[in-house]
Amino acid sequence: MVIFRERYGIEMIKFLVILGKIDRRFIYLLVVIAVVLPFIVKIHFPIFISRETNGVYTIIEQCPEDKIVLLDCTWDAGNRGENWPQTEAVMEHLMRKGIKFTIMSRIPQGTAFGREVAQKVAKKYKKEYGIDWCNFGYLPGEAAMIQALARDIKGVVKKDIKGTPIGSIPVMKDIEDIHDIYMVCAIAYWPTEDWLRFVQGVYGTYIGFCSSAIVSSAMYPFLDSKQLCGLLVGVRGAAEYERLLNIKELGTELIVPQSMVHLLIVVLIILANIGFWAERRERK
Amino acid sequence: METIEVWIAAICTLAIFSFLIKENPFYRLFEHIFLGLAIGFTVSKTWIDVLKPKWWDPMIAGFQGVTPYGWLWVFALLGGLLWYFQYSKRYHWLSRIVIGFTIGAGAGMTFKGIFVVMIPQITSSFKPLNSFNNIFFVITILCVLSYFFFSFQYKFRPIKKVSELGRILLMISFGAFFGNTVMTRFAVFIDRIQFLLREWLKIGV
Repeated sequence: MVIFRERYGIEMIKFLVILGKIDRRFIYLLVVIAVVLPFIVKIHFPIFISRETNGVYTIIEQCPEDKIVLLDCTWDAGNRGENWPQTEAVMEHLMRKGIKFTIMSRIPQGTAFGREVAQKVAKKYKKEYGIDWCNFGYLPGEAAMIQALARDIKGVVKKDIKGTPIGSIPVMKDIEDIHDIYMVCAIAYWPTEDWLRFVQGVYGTYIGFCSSAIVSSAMYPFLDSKQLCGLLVGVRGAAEYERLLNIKELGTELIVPQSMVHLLIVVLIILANIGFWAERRERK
Repeated sequence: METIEVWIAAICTLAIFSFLIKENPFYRLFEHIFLGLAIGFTVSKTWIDVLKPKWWDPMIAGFQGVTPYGWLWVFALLGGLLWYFQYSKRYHWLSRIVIGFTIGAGAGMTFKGIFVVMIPQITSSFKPLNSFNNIFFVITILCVLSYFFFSFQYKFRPIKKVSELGRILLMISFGAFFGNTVMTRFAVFIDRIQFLLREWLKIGV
């Protein structure tokens, strides 16, 4: 420390102190630059497949023909940035493989978002509503609804979102209860653990979660105990899934500015800590 | 029509982002619009998708004699209305009936669920000490558990050290949580920037 001070003097310490007091508006500007730049200039970062993302992919790959996948699209505009690319990637996989699926939501807004993504992907693969997928709409009731749905799907969902009786929709023809559902993929800011409590734990159905990154830390224990077959973590999960599918969609596009801004945050944290250290030195 | 939608969405986004400069009337106006829209949408969707088809229509059909027992749904309304007796000092006890039902059902489901979720967690924490990951996992569990053991004072030095290590390991996990928080917050921001650049300004399309 003494050597540092002798070599660079008090002026250097004063300069370093400034690093810890950067104006927040300047930080906002740097963040905007880091985010906007990848949308204008092509920047590539390597994407590595994690174990948790591979788990969802592998289970969907093994889906038998006579079963369907249930997508719980409980997300809205607030977490569109993470859950939209996740939903799109999973639906892309399902439609590409010709796996039939149904959408439901535990919040009113979720049904519209789920339908929008399905329609977008369906155009690409020329899939038809009712034959390849259907939408249960908004299903309130949380744990009670999930338990009832597992026992008797047609008893809980009488009509789909368009008002068509469930029994007359081709995709739901032989689907009666949870035994006819191969996997439940819960896509939400915080996917409900009720799927583990009342479906995986009771019937052994595969459960995959697509969560926001913020809650993913709380989900890892479920992966370790094999209660979850896989987990997509935020945009990273979506980008990894797209890599597995060998496509470049929204997830791959959004992960680049995400990585750029993370690098910036790391640099800013280091600079702020140097500033904090220098300030203490200066006081001494 | 699509262009108008994009312009409205862009103006709404910029109005909310204007808060970054400072609190302003433009931001506050859009904040209230969003709140109103969200509540209105939820109320209408709940009525159209849930209450009308699952409660109102069967009840009316019952009163009209179309279904034999549909009128029994009126008791759901009466039961629900009991909640409002919370506002009455005299008849407050009536609300306890429905609160009792709710707590009983909730407790029953939680009791059922907790075992199904927690037992596999506990059994999976018994790991063979044959790899670095497993050893690190078991050490972390023991250290963190010792940190949360409050029944005696940590006078015995090794126990104290283990507890301190538990605290450090907890700090590391909080760091991971914070890192993930940053990731989610920026994902939301990046999504909006992507919308503004690609769909509104048509940059890089």
